[in-house]
Amino acid sequence: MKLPGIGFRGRLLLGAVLPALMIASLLITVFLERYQADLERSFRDHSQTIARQIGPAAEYALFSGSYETLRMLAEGTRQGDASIVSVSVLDRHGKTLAQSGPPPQQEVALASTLQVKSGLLLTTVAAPIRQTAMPLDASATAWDGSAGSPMSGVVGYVVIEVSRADLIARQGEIVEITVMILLGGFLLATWVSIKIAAGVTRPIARINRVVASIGRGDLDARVPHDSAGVLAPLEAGINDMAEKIAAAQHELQDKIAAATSELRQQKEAAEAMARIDVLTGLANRRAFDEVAHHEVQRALRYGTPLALVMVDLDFFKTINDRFGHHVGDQVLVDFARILAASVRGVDLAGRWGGEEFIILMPGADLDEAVQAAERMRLKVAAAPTKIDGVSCGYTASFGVAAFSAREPTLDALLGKADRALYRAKDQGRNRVEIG
Amino acid sequence: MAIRILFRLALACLIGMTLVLPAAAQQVWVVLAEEGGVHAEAAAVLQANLEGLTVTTGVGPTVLSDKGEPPALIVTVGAAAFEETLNWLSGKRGSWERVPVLATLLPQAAYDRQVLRQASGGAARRVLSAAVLDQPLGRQMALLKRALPERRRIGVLVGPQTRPQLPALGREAAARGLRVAAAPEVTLPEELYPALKATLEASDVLLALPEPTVYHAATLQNILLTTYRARVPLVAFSSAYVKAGAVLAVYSTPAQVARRAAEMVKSWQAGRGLPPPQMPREFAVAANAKVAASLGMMLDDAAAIAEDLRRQEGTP
Repeated sequence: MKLPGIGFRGRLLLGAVLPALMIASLLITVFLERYQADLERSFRDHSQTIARQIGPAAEYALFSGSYETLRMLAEGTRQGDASIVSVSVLDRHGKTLAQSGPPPQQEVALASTLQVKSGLLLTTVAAPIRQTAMPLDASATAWDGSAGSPMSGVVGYVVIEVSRADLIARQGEIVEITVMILLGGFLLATWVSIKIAAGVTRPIARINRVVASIGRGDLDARVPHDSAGVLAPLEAGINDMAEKIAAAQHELQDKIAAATSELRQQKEAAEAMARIDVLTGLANRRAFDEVAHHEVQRALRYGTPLALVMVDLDFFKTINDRFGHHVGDQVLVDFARILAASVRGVDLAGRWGGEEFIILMPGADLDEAVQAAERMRLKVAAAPTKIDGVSCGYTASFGVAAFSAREPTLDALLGKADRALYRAKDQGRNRVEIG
Repeated sequence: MAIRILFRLALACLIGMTLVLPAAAQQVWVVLAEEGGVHAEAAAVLQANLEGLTVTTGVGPTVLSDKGEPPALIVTVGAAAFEETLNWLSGKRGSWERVPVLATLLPQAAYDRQVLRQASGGAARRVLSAAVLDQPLGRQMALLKRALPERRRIGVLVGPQTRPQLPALGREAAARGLRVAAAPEVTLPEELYPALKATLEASDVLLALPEPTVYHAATLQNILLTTYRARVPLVAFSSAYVKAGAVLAVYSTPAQVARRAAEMVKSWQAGRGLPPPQMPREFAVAANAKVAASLGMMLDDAAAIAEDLRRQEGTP
């Protein structure tokens, strides 16, 4: 049954209280009706009995025409019962012979059988008064020769009027009590059913919260498993489910991490295989190495000059730390651009390491190389880079070396340049030193 | 030759017998209004006292049937049977019109009423008679004289049925030194009490004459109460009334009336015709000693009183 707006708790409450209320109401209505009917019937019986009892007592007074006796009888009857409003004795033609109290307010027919009329406030009873027939034995029947004599039958009537105020009050009382009991019972039933329902609604609410948490991603949320109630299996089940989800999630994350690292390794390997440094676009170390070896061989064979410049950005770590890695990367790119723009076509610029760069200058002697390095140094130092709106000035230290036939290896050349670079750093950076 | 005479004599006897025999087995119907009770008792006594007749007894419709020959006589038991029988006969023609009816065990008043109806009906006069319940006025006066000698002033309540008896009552009373002190007529219920009161004031004893408008089961209690209050005894016509509170009654039992009826039937059977309506010859006296005592009266034993009355009448 769809009942919008009624929550789980409300539904439980309704389910417990409503049927009980309906049954109680039905029972009460039925019994109330019965009781009211009983009250009414006993009231009528009481009224009828009074009327009937007056008959025999009034009979002789009616016969002998002693109206004073009739009046006393009427008076006595009325005063004998507080609910009787009026008592009248009538002759058989309906003429009032004696009366106690006001005349009857309600019209009721005078007939050979007892007549009752019940209004709102009064019940009026008209009872015929008959002469009491004496029980005569059979021998007397022979004398009943003639067809019914006029003497048998009704000789008068008694009409009494009884107030229903008492009856109405009692009936009202019962209704009042009933309503109060119904109300009280309803409240009690509601309270009891709330208490009983709480045993279910609180755990359900807890479960709801935990499930919501899990849904939001908090996989460590668990239902506190303290209640030994009817929902214990559900709570245990929720917790199991959460465990399994968490475990599955972790497994998945592990798998992803593994796959990711493998991928990264593959990427690095792939990059290493490549010749270009991805970030700066300059030759990478491997490529440079190959070419450098080749040039060294050529220089040795043909006796042509060969120069090498090693460059290291100053305070690169500081830049990274202060401005972040992506700024650092932009600096490297910027520097690489300056380098590439500053070298001749035959020269080879490469990235040697993190912030280390290297330039091979075939056919250039030491002086040419130093001039070139100095040009580059100035260019770098002069123009601060604007990266992401952040003005980031930087400098570089240069170490220059020329190939010598005395030490005809690349390593020796690299070593000279490296030592020169070290000296440049040592001497305060932003300078060119010769090795 | 002797054989011839003998033969003729025998033939004559045979013929004679055929003439006589049918007359000896006359049909008589006895009609009751209902089963059991006093009527059946009376019918039984009647039947026991009849001989030489074929008697068919039963309740109205079982006996009254025009499928055969009409009976020689119909006897009814009770006023209702009498009325029913006359009504049934009123449509029948031929020999049915000549069937006489003897009504038994009914008041004189009831008999008289039916006779009047028959006469005014315009049909041929049917022979009717009755063995009634009423006691002769003389016997009632004799009872008063014998049992309540000091009470000389007699009061009666009459109505349409009993008013005609007043003159005769006055004569019978006077013959015994008694007087009818009050005899008001009552026709409406409202008249009863005033008449009764006035009568009791003027009388020493209230004699009940069988007047249906005055005396019956519904009025009896009130009448008795009133007589008690006036300390006047009620002398009634039925033993039932004495049981109910009347002081004395002279009455006849159903058996006694039935025997009277049997006498009348025998008279008819003998060819003397049905005698005129008869009052009972046999009677009994009932007395209520308790009521008498509470009224401060000394009363002799009922049987003794009855004996004396019978002796006076000359019947054993």
